[in-house]
Amino acid sequence: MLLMVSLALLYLTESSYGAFRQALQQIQFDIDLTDHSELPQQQVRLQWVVTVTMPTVKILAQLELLDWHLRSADGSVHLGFYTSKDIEIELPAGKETEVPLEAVLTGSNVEELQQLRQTVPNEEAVMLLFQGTALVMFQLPQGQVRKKIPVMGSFTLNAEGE
Amino acid sequence: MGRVRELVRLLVIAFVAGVAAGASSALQAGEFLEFSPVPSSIAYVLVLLVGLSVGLLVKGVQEGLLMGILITIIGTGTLFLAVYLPNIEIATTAPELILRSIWWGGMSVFFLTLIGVFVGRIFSGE
Repeated sequence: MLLMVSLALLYLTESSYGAFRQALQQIQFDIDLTDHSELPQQQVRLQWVVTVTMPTVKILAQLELLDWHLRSADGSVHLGFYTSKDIEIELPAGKETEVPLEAVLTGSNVEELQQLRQTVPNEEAVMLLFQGTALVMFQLPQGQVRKKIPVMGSFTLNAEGE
Repeated sequence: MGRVRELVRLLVIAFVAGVAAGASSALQAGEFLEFSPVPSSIAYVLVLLVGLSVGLLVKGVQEGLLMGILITIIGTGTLFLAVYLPNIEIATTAPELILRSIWWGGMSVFFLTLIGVFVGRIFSGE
């Protein structure tokens, strides 16, 4: 009887542990720039959609925060640090969740971006890097655990409206 | 013939109790602490109950001590498999994390089983 109880509990524990590790290894973040526009007072607004794909595992997960650095393609120019601030978005297993993000570049970051645009040949798009960290909360049988997951992506910035 | 039968009986009890104690002890291993459906205290209670059950089945304190050692060996082996197999990558890069869990798990199996065996012998009127 004790053997059955112990083995059953161990099986449940290892299943839960396996699901958590699988979720950590297979969770996927895809970055897509959806819009960019120049605002008054020398500001540039960039909008992305981050598509989060959770593997099909029995574990509850929630995206709590996403912050990111914006850099030139070679990483030499830093265009600012941005954050989604606190968000609470459920990440259902086996499904894709779209998270809209926005950053408004101001001051020296706009100047750096303009300089980058001037360095590329005529009509070509500027390639930028999105280097972020997602804070994901996993609901476990004996509490919660929060993990930071790197989010990387590159995108091209065409002339406005293209 | 009777001695062989007695030896087989003891080995079967040691194996079943050892696997149960090792599986219970794995529930409170650092790696699984947050993933177990029951609190870690229940894991200790289960190991203690295994010792108590064995204490009621054996004859004499000497046999109880022998069983305690056998259960610890088999239990530690079970614990090792339970912790190592899902963490093979961790075990190769940071074996000390796995070994620490196995060491403390093995110690708790040894002492809790022995306490259980002695309590079992007291209950059986020895």
